Amino acid sequence: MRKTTLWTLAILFAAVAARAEQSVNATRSVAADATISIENVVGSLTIIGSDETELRVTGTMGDDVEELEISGDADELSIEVVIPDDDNWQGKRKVGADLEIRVPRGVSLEVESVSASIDISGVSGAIEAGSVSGAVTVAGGSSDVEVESVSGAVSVTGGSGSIVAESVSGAVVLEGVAGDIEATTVSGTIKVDAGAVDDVELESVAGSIYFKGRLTDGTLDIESHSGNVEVLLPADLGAEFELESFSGRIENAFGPAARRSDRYEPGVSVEFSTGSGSADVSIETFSGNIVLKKY
Amino acid sequence: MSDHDEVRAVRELRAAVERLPREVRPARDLWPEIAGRLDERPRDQSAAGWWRLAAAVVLMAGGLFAATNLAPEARSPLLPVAAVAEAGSAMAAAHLRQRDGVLHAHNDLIAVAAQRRGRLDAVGAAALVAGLADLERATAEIEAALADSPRDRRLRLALAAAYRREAGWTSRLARV
Repeated sequence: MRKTTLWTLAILFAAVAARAEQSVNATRSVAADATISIENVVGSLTIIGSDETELRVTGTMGDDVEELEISGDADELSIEVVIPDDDNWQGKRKVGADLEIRVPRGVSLEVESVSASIDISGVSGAIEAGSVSGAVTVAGGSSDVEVESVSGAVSVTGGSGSIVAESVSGAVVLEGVAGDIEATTVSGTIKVDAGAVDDVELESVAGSIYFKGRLTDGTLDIESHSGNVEVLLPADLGAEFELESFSGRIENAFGPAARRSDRYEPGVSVEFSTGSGSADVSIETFSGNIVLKKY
Repeated sequence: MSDHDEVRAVRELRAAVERLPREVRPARDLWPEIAGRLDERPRDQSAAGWWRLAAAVVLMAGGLFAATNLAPEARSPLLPVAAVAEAGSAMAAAHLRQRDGVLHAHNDLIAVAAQRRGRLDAVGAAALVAGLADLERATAEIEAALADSPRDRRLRLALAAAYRREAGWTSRLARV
């Protein structure tokens, strides 16, 4: 008898728990070059570019999510996970949503979250994606990408054109990217493993910076306060170099050793050129070390 | 000693003096010790005029932003600025007052970010605070170095860049 009661309670509990999720399955017609904005506070967003001509949203939402609001028209569509408008929901209500959104490949995206992770792949239109603590990942060849996170990691793979990535404490990882690159962080690390790049700007306060890429006739401008900087450039690169550090060490595989900039004050620097000198390389730190290597 | 010998001795001495190096390079790097002693003495008050002005500009920008965008109840305790506070000189005290204003604006922005969302999670909020502390620390290091080497042009440029960086990140964080 007692065993039966326990089983009954367990089944009831499972039924209640199962009700704590709402399933989502919605489609909308959108133009191939539509602008789509998406907002989800908690959970995850997976956005996939495909050859389909409509937008499809599938997934699950917590029971306390008020609704999945889809508004706008075929050229400009907005998707928002609407949650209760109070300040006490965190950790107490089920407001998370895990959504997979399939979109036509050529759309432009504006995606925003607080702690939800954002994963975008296969979209060739412009992408803007930001999160507070969620990770932001973009893969698959968009021409213009702007991604930012406060504490989440930011990652872009395979883009070209203009790539801008920012974080406060999260790592910034750019792999297989090309074109113009700008990455900024306060304490997160920046790692760029690029193809052919034009203009590159990397800036960190306390995080370390790693760059490897083929610079032709553009500029590579790196600034760091206390983070170490490691740069790998093709051995046959023709460039004008300026390396300078106030109290860090400089290792230079491309030219002469750095010397003290002023007889009476600390700081080392070196300026030199190689080959045709058509590219410009400038690396500056306050206390971080600089290592310049050939590959 | 005959006159002839004396003249010869003087010539030899002069030649020896001329052979002396114009500069004497120290056998080892003396900078760390010098820097340590500089840290012990009061900071140069006259050298900081222009970057006080820069700090004031940042302060005004931050204050203006705070005044126009922030609710009074958004105020929160100041972040510590240990490096500046420990300096203890009149210049540091004056500077600290200016920095206080900037920090108020920074913290207000954090509070506003939290208010706007009402949902900023602990990880994100902690990262914001830690990030701002990192920015403060970096700026304080440059300020300390500039106080020791007030004529160093690179440091002046670095400090100006640090203030720009702080202002830039502050405005970015306002968008969170």
